[in-house]
Amino acid sequence: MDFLNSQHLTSQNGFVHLFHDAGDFTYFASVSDYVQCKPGIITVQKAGTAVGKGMQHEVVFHWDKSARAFVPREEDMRKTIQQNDFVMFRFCRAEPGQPTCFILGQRGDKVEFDSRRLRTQQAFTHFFLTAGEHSYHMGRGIYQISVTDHREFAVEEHKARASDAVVIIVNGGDPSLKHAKIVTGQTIIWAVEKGENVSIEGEAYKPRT
Amino acid sequence: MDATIAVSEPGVNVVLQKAIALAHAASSDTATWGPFQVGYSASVALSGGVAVLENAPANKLDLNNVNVAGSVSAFFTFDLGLILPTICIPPFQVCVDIPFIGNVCTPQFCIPWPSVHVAVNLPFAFGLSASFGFRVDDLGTKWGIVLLIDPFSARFDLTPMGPLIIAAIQNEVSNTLGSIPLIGGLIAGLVNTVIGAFSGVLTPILGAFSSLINLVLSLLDLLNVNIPYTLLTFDKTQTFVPTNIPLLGDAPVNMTLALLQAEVLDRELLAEGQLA
Repeated sequence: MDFLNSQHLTSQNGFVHLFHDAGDFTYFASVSDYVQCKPGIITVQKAGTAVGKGMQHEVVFHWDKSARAFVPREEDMRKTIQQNDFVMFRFCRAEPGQPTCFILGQRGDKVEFDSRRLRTQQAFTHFFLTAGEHSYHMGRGIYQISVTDHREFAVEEHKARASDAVVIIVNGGDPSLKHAKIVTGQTIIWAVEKGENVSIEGEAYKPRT
Repeated sequence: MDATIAVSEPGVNVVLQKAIALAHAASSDTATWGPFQVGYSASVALSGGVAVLENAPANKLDLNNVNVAGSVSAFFTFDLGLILPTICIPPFQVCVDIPFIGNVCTPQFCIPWPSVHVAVNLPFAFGLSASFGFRVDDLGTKWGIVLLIDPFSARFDLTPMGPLIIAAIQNEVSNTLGSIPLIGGLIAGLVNTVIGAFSGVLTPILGAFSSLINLVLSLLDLLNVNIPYTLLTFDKTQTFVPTNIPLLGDAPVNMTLALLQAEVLDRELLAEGQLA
C-alpha cells in the first residue's frame, strides 16, 4: 500500500528544493532530529539564470543497513550547481526494514530547507503503486486521489497515461486540483508556488473492489 | 504333550489387513536451497496388499502390492530480490515544466521486489512390497509370533510433482509481479528467471521429499525394521475343558505353554507349542 506523507519520505517519494542563493549548503536524510548523519555538501555558484530556467540535479540516498542511516551516493557527497538550479532528493531501491526519513539542508547553522515543511519553490513527488481511493489533508482541507489499476488498461494505453505526471500547484495550502485521477505507475508532483509549512499527509485509503 | 495351531494364508491376510488399516503417519521438515526456503510435511496411509506365505525353509511372509497413498504439503518462500535484477520504473523519464521551479523530471522508483509464498499440496500413491520373517518372542504372560521386516527402501517416482510445483510458483510469481505497474512487458522474462533459479534446486527438493516419505513409512510399526510387529499372541496358560460329557468333579485343567515354534507349511502359519 502507498504510504503518502511528505513528512515521512519513502522510496516512492522525491523532494525538490530550488537554490536561490549562492553559497555552501550541507544536507542529509535522517530518521530523527536526534540522529546525526554525515552531511553532503552542495555548493551553489553565482549565475544569472532566472527562476524556472535552472537545471535539475539529483541526490540519491540509499539505506545503509549496517550504519542504520541514509547515505547519499559517493558522487552526491559534494555537488556544485548554479544559482536557481534545483535538486531532486530521491532514493534508490528500498531495502527491507528501511525506515522513513526527512531531508534537511543547512547553511551554516541556519536551516535552509526541511522536507517536512514544504515552502515556496519546493516540491514533493509520490509514485503511486496501489490502486484505490486515497485521501490526504493539506492544511485544513481534505483532498482525493483516485488511482486506477494499470491492469484495467491495455499496455499501450497505460503507458501513455503513465507518461504524464500530474502537477498540483499549491498556493497557501490550497491545491489546484482537489480530486486527482491517475493510474498506478503515475507520479503526482505537489509544487508549492507560495506557502510555508505545507505538508501532504495521507488520511485514508480504500482499495478498489 | 504338543499342540498345533494353524492359521491359513487368508487368516493371516485378515489379521494383517487390520494392521494395515491402522497404519498412517506423518512428519515434517524445513530446509533451504539457495534463495528458496521450503517447509514440507508428508503423510502416508496404507491400504490393500496381499500376504503370501512361503513354506519352510524360507519361512517368510511376502506382503505384496500394498497401496501407499499420501501427500506432501509444501510451502516455498523466497525473496524475489535475491533472484531478480534491480528494475526501476517508469523506464522513461517524465518531465514537466513548472514555471516557478523549472523543468522537473520525476524520479524513477526502483522496485523493492517482494517475498513470495507459495503453498502446494502434492498427492502421491505407489505400490509397496516387503518380506517378513517370523520369530517367537516371550512377551511375559504370552508368546508372540512377530513379523520382522527385511530392510527395504520404498522406491517411487516423485518427478510428476516437479511440473505441479513449477506451475504453482509460476502462477504466484506472475500474480505478484502483475500487481506492479509498468513492468508488463518484462514479467514473462522475470518469471522465467525465477523458474530457472528454481529448476536448479528442484531435484534435491524432490529428493528431500522422498527421504521424508521413507522416514514416515519407517514410523509405521509394521514397516519399521527395528520394531518387531506382533502378528499373533498365545496365553502361556491355556485352559483345557474335558471333551467328554463333563462328569461331576471334572474341572477345567490349566496347562502351561512352555515353548512355541512358528513355521510355514502348506501355506499355513503353524504355531507348534509344547504343553507342560
